Amino acid sequence: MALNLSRGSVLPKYPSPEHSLCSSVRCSNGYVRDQCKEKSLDGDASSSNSELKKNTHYKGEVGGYCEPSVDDILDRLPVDPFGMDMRSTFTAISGWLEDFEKGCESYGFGVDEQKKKVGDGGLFAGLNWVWNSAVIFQPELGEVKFDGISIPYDSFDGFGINDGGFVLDDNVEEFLGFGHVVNLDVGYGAKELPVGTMERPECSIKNFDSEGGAPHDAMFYALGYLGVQDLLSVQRVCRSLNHAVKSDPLLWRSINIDWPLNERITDDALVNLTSRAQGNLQTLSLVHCAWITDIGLHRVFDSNPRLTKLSIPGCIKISVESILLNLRTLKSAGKPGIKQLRIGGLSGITDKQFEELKFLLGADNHIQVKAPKPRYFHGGLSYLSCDDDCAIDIEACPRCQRLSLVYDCPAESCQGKYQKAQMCRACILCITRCISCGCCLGDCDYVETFCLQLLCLECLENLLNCQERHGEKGATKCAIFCQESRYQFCLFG
Amino acid sequence: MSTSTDNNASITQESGPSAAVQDIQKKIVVRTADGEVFNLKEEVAMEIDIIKTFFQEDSISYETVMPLPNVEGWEMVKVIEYCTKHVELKHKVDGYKERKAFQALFVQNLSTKSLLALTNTANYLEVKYLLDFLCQAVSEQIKNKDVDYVRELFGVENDFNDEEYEQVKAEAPWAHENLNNDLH
Repeated sequence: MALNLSRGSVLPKYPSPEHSLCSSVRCSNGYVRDQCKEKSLDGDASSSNSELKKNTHYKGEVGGYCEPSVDDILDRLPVDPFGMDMRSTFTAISGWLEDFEKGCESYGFGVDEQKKKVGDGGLFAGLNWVWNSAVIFQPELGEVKFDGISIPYDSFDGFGINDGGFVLDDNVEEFLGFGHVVNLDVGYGAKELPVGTMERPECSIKNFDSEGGAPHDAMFYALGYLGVQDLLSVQRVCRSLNHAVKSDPLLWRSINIDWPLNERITDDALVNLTSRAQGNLQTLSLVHCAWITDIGLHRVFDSNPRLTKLSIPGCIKISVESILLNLRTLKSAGKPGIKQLRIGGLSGITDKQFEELKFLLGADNHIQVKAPKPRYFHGGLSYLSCDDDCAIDIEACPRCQRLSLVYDCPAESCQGKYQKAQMCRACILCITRCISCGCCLGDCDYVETFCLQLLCLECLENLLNCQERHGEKGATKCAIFCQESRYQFCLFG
Repeated sequence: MSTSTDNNASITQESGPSAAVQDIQKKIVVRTADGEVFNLKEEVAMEIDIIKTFFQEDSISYETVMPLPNVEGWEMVKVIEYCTKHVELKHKVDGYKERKAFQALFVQNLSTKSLLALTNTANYLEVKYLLDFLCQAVSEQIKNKDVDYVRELFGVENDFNDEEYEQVKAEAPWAHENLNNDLH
């Protein structure tokens, strides 16, 4: 039986050289670091490689409804910089499997076409389900998405499929539909896979006597404990919750946009959300919101003069100059203005801009009540939250003098050094650190992961031990790190 | 008038000569809506602001039985359990892990309906830290769930008409991609 590869080659298509000039690197926290952008931030963003074609497919993949108004580097990034060609690879494999099955049938082996359920045909039925879905790989924290079905990262081991039980919600025929979560079991050779309803030990779903009624009062108390995404979800539940979510300004005094909303939120959406605070917005945190522009931020400032804390790490379309403009406007209007600013990875800031920022933030007058907390490098959580007392997160690196995030060292050997020259305190370019524990790597051995992150051997050992103990509840403190990097280990072998 | 026999945490022995020595703490007596009576240790009772206000600010004698018409017996049991633990951990230096373990157990066998009822009670009784904890627990049940699941879990009826619902959906479509029932 010949394998029919005519549906599409499984070989990756390599992009032309000019497309590979500006590649994106996915960091451990799942955020794309645009290398091209970092280089060109000093100048005009639109002056970057104009040979790169605008690629709408890229936007589609990250699920964006957004239509950025500026045609810039982000739109021109290649879909598949490493030539891995995931979509067609999986389509090809899907085709291959179907052909193989057809081939099997022609020899009298059996997958019954009518009941193409899991549990028949063992291996291939299971695999077929996997490959037949359009796979959207989003190696950010949390999940792999198969169409509408989201599977937590910790269901996967090396091959991407775990060996836990296969639990199907409701009807088997519907299991390919949206909204059903399954744990995948390839079940090599297994004829029957358990089918059952999902039960949560803490509470049962149908525990209310009536069909449904008005929401319980307690739900309204709990609204204040929900994040933006959940609030937007709850507002669709019923009229009273809708009204509560939209009209209570207290719920919107502090807005934090993180994954996954960060990839989708546009200027208009942001302005809409912040307007719910009815002018009382105090804290705004936009983590890696790549579609938010200077214009959007300006609109937010215009309608929220009481803003005191702003955090915009990784918002690459926001320039330092626009922040300065907004701060100057607030100051001249006599408003208290921003007291704490976090700009994290925003590059291209000059000394002059930095000084003016400090002045506008009142940093020199700012008396820190508590001693500054040490800042440790830790993968996706490198950005100092606004809980710290300091006015601005960046400073001049003690070694290279460049303005960036400066990290302290948690290593015991680096403690107790109070002489400035000895202190293990510098930007990440001057002192390389383990992405998990943040210790300096000068004196110890380390490994480099596929994603170009560095791990000290101790953390690597912990990671491998965590993998062995996969499936155990109550993960150790290395859990967060495991979740990020382990996923990448799985995905890229 | 019946005394709760489950309530060991707050009832001390009253018989014998030694009782007079150890029973230094005063007792506060409350009666819940279903007629159950609870004897609370003073320090635990004072955690419950509504009781504190009743007895301290209004200088009412401790012999009075305070009525709590909005509270059920089982709810009172849970509240006393939590407050007693809170008082105990107040004096401990490093009680974080113990607190977390206790909290996990506390909500483990509570149905959603019970959790909501208890949250309401915590609000009525004005026990701030308990309300805070229970609200967190409720929000954990809402987090990352899609709309239909939340409706079903909390027994809420969809009272939008079709047109309204389309409008609601159009408000922030970008936020609702690929949400699923239960990630766990």
